[in-house]
Amino acid sequence: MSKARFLHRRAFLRGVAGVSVGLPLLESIGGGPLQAQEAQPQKRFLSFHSSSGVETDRFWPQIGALSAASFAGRGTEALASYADRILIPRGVHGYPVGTWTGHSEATCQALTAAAHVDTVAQGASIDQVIAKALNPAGREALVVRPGGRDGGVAGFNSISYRAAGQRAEAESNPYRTYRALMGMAPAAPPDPSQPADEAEQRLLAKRQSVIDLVRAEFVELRRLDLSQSDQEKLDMHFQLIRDVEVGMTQNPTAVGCSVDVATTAQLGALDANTVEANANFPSVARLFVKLLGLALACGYTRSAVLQWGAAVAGSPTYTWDGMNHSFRHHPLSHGTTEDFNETMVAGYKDMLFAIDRWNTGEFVKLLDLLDSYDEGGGRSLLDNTLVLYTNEFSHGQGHTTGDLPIVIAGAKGTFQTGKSLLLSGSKADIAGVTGTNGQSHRLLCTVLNAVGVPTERWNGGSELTELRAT
Amino acid sequence: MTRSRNTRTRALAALVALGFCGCTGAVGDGTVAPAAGGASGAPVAGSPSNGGSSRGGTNTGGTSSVVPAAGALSNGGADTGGAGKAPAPSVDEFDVDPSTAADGVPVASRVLRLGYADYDRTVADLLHLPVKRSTDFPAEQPNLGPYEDLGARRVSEPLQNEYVLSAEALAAELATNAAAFNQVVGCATANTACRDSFIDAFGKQAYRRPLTESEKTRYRTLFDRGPELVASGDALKDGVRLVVEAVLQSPNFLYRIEAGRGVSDAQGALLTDYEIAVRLSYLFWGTLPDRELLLAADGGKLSTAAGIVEQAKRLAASPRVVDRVLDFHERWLQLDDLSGVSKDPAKFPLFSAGLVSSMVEETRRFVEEVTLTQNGGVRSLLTAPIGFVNDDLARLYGLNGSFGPGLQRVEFDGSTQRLGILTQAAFLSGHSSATTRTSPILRGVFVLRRLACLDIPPPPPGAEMQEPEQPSAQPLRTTREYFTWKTSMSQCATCHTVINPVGFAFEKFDAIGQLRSLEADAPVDASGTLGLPDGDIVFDGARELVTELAERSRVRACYAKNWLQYAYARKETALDLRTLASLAKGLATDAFGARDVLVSMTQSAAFSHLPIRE
Repeated sequence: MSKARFLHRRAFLRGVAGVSVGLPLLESIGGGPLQAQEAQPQKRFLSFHSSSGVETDRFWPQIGALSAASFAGRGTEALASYADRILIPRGVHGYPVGTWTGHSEATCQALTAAAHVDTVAQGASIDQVIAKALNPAGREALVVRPGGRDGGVAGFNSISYRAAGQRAEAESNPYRTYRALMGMAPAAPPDPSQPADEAEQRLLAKRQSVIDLVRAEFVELRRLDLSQSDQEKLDMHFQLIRDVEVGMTQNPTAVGCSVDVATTAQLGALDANTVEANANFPSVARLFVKLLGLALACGYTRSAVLQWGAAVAGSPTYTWDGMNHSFRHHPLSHGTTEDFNETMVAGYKDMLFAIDRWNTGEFVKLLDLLDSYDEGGGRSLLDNTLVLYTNEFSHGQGHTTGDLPIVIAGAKGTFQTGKSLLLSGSKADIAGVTGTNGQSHRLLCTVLNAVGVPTERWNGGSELTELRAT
Repeated sequence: MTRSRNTRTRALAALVALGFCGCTGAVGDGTVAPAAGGASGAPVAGSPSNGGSSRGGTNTGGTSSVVPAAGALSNGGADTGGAGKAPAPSVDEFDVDPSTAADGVPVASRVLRLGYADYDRTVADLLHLPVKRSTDFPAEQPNLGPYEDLGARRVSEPLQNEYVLSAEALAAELATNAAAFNQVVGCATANTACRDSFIDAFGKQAYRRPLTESEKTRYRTLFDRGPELVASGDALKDGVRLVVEAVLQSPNFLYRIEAGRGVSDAQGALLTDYEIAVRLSYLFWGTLPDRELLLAADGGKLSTAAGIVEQAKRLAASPRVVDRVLDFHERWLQLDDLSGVSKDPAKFPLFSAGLVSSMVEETRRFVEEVTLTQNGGVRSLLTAPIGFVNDDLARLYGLNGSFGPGLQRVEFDGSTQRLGILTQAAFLSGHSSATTRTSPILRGVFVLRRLACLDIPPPPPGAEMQEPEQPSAQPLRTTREYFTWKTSMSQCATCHTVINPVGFAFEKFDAIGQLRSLEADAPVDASGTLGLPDGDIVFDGARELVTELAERSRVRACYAKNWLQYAYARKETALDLRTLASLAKGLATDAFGARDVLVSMTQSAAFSHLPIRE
């Protein structure tokens, strides 16, 4: 076995839109201000999606103006510090109407609002649409998920879809995500006998020569008589190789993008065999949060999804930070010990409440991290990122998708903030309302426009302009 | 914990009444509801849609028991490596004379990306280095069936990066490993002759065919830039490093590309001898052709069925075939699902990660013993009364005696109720998703889909939220009683009257496979009837069920179908009928093991011809 696990402090070799970003830098993540990359703030999107609903009796603050006091004693209490910077829309109902009846539907439709066939969404999710519009060619949205998976229903493990019928696998191992972020940074340590700059230049020249050869081979393969799908497969691969070349031949722009020593050590110590184990959920989730901050700050991607655990059989059992539950989140959301049985758990609502409070606390830590990146012009990374909190259900026991739990954070100046706003013509009612104003496809349309992907209609739903800042 | 079913039922009923669930509205959706199955309610078996369902049929493990296959067809839309256009034959049609059955060349991909396991073996063999790089590769969609659809596999950006890093790291490692380096390079002086012989030989192994002149020229040019681009002071090593890096990133290495020889016979365009060598080596060993196979290709000996069968038998006789045989059976049995299983420690103190490893290892040893050592087929898999146990497993099985930490072969007698692979702890635990009880629906669906190849559709949307409005008249003590009640509404019963009894056959084994006669102080009832198109099976317990299943031609045909999907990395088509019929016929004897299955599959038109282009 020779598994190279050299994680050293390096920056990404490639950045946004083919612009290479700087080489070794000293800033560690969350550790201080970074230089602005561009004069214009770049808009970004981050989805935070959890499952099994919330304890609806104690989740939301009152509708109306928000202050820190609005959150006292609620499942969302940790949001108090962001009271004036967030928007909590109420009366958003799952779309397509009438099909959000199970986890299969709720999971695959969360970011697609598309019809589904056998748990597979028949349309792309907005994270991938945003990535396609804003990222360098070929770079998909970064999709990660801490925790275990549902072994039977693959759809519970990722909410991201490249296109109709094409689910994007969520990465569960932060070490592999880190490698993806590192891109072409060498896996082996530099040769200490050679000057760093010279070694770097030689590495790039070597790669260029190899790429030239490989490219010639791809060109020759075009002579083969292949089906369209085979040809597309090779073309897509070829495109990824060409991107490397573009990235290397442009002038790097310095930006601080590296991982601190302690995090590097944590990443290097991860064991692929236990990374999905329940006990590791908090540590793995927090590593993902750090990496997502890095990926968004450093221009690796402008669209990412943090799926806060898989649904149903992959849902976590909360056994940390004061919670000592014996049953997974999913059966608890039904008040039972197993996914499907009738054995009730005494006090399950308090357990759900504790889960909501912990999840919201971690969500706020994510906001704090994004807010710690100064992107210049008086704006933080959070100010430039639309963070969308969603949940597959409102009421987990009833699988209800009426009045879904939604929080919009970040994207400074784009939305009305400091309030919980009931959509006109809708109701804050988990039973759901069939009026068109509150449907989730309209929320997704609104998000697309807010991050700079003009979209008149998303699966038929137009923008909810009443949410936007005036 | 209290039992308050009525409360919850009422709550659910109220939610339904308020329109919260909407589940009843989804019932009867034509895309997912079972076809009307006559008085017995049995789903239509052996319909031409079996090809699609076989893919779905693979996705039944480890999840909530009333949604056995919600993700079943989840990759259907993305399946670009698809099979022929003609409807796939049903397993009912396999019982024909192979000599008159259709044997043709289907539509399929000509560009197969190496799977991760194949990549690892290929790189290790090519470089003589004991490496496994794919652990760092990005997560891919798991396979949904017993086969990996390699034609649908693509290269993502993170994977491309990993290919580059892997190539660089491996080339660097080769340069520091003298033994491997000498084997790979074969000469020691940095001159033109050494360069050229290395490029010719290494390139031929890696590309699995001789290099073209233009390819050779490119590699020679690259090699010569070693002193400039690597600059270690050793020109030979530097040149080799560059060539190895480039070869490992080449599409000709990363894909199995088929172009054909430009000559056709009555059945279609012929593959080259090298392309056939590649098919043989990846089928039997999951890696690149060895020296002997390449020599056979050099000599044009793979252009005939006899030449192919000679090499196939040689490859089958090697111990290297074991990996692939076990890999197939692990996929077929969904043993992967065991990795995610967790059990209530209070109820199952025996259960541990170590026990799970022993369970999997037992089933692996059993499959090797039955299908390779004893040359048996699915009948023996279902009924061989042997096991492999250590102290932990012996305790689980209720065996007396001391076995130590390693697995020992044992013969089971009737009192243990163990008979064949479905009564082993690995199958029983892996098909129990719950932490405290069994999952009879998972077990039942496995038998119906993977052994009987019946078309069991996924449940309709929201099925898990459906529940009879009326509570059961009797208290629901056992798992059987609970699921019987839970699935009793008419819209569920169509399928569940078929699924449930098969799952109940295993109820004398608990969620980790321990024998039991009582559940919650009530006697366990493991009796039932399985309605199959070729006649009902009436059973009391798993032993009776598997004994009868083992005699059914349908089960042999289904096993053959699963094998073919694995071997050809695609769904079966009508043009594969002769191969399927031959396999089913062979399996009817008791001397047709995994090697025979594999060799048979090299004798088809599909195996020796260029796939039809879509």
